[in-house]
Amino acid sequence: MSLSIFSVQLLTGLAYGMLYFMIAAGLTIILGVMNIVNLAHGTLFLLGSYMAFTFMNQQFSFWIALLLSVAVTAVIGIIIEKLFIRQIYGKELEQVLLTFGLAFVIADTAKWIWGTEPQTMAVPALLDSSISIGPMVFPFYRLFVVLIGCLLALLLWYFESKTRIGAIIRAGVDDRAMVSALGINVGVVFTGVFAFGAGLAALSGVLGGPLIGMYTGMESDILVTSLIVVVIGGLGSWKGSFIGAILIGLIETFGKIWFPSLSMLIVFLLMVVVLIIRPQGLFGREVA
Amino acid sequence: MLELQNVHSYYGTSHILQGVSFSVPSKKCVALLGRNGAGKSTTIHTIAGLLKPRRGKIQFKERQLNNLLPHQISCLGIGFVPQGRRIFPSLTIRENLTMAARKNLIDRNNNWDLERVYELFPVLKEREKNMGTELSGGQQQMLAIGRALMTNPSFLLMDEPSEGLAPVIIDQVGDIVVKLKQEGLSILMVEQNISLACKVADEILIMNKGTIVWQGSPDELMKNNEIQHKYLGV
Ligand SMILES: Nc1ncnc2c1ncn2[C@@H]1O[C@H](COP(=O)(O)OP(=O)(O)OP(=O)(O)O)[C@@H](O)[C@H]1O
Ligand SMILES: [Mg+2]
Repeated sequence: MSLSIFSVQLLTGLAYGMLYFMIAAGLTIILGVMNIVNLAHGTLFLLGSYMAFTFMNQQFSFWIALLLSVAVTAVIGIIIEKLFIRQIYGKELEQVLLTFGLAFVIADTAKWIWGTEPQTMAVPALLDSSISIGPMVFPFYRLFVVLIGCLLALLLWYFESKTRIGAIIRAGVDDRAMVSALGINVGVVFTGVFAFGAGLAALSGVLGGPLIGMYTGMESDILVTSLIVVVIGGLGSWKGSFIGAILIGLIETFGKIWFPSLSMLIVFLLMVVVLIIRPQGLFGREVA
Repeated sequence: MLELQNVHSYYGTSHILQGVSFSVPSKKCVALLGRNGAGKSTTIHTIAGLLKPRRGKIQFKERQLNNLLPHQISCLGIGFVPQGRRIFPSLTIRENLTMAARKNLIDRNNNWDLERVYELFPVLKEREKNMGTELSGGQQQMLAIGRALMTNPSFLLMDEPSEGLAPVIIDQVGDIVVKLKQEGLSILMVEQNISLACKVADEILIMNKGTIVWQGSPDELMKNNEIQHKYLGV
């Protein structure tokens, strides 16, 4: 493999990793805080990218389309939480059935609106070039996605460890009833967390548009990948998901080159190896 | 200030509180005593909204609490210092306090904030960057009290603040309770430590099998060996 191909692939792997991180972060935070595995999370990714696609067809710029899709998906998240999820806190079977059902409904609605033809999204003009360092080539757009992923990690770190809301959320994971007895409306916190996660899924979907495009079934592919990321990283840990997502992005990308037919198998293998060595995942809380 | 009338509470199908009635007057400290499993914590949880009463009435400053959620009850000015402290292990000492902060909108000149809690409990300030659970039992109790004060309550629910503490520390807890009462707080304190209860409380309630079986002043309880023996196992 030449250095120029290697550099592009490395950056591609990292960019995919960051996309996985964005969607898995929401999934794992919702799991950690609200104790819910949101199986509809992949469809929020799908909705985000399709909506951006439509906005761009309406002559909105990529950036406006990005903001609009993230905002609309966050609002959809609020509606889903308030209308459905709220009714079934603590009931695991109901949660699986409900979020699974929602995933079907949303995916089929998307099929009905946007059809089954695969679609593509253009790289925004501003970032449609690359930078060369010696023989290595780095496409700007992928660099940008990596940058956004790192910024998101920084933001989450700040938010979690330096703000009062972050402290309230951590306290809620420790002892939810105690938090509410101190006068904090845990319901509002939950709605906020769910909406935030939904927005992140859309962000991932839109930023992924120019790299992955849109196709039917994409929502389950991305859901499976992000569930693996969440498991590898440790349930509820966005830091673990950050590492896990980068690992998977890189392994998948290079796996496709070196072992084209085995790349998904390698990803699962990684999960198995991590689980054998650390059953609670890379950053997971030790369970007794 | 706080009044319970014929309150019944259940855990699932087990009928725990079986018609509890009492009241706590403004700026007074009432102690609720009773054996293990008598229903003392259940009473506290029912007042705090963590458990919904099935029957009866709970009234606080003319407001009915029965159908309110825990955070709404807290916002009316009821602070909660739980049994076993329930310090948040993922939070530093400082965060344990600041996460609960709520301004005093009723009496602006009597606002509890981080500074004032640190004044009352200097040890918390010294170790503010440590995790809450790294403190000793007595210090954790101070943190739990400080955390409740950060919500600027006019009423405090304290569930066994002396549990598991050394005698010297229990005396300190007693001094704090007296001090808070002097600051104008009303207090309902669950205790198993009779001497602490009699030292700080204006009135004593004894609970057995989910009902109040005796009520009187600390002096009356100290003189009544029969009641002490029968319900408190002394
Ligand atoms: N979460 C629960 N689910 C079911 N039963 C409970 C629960 N909590 C308490 N109980 C039962 O309710 C009864 C009263 O318990 P409660 O905690 O109010 O006692 P207590 O007077 O506070 O005792 P202690 O002094 O040991 O704290 C006990 O029989 C207990 O087993
Ligand atoms: Mg108790």
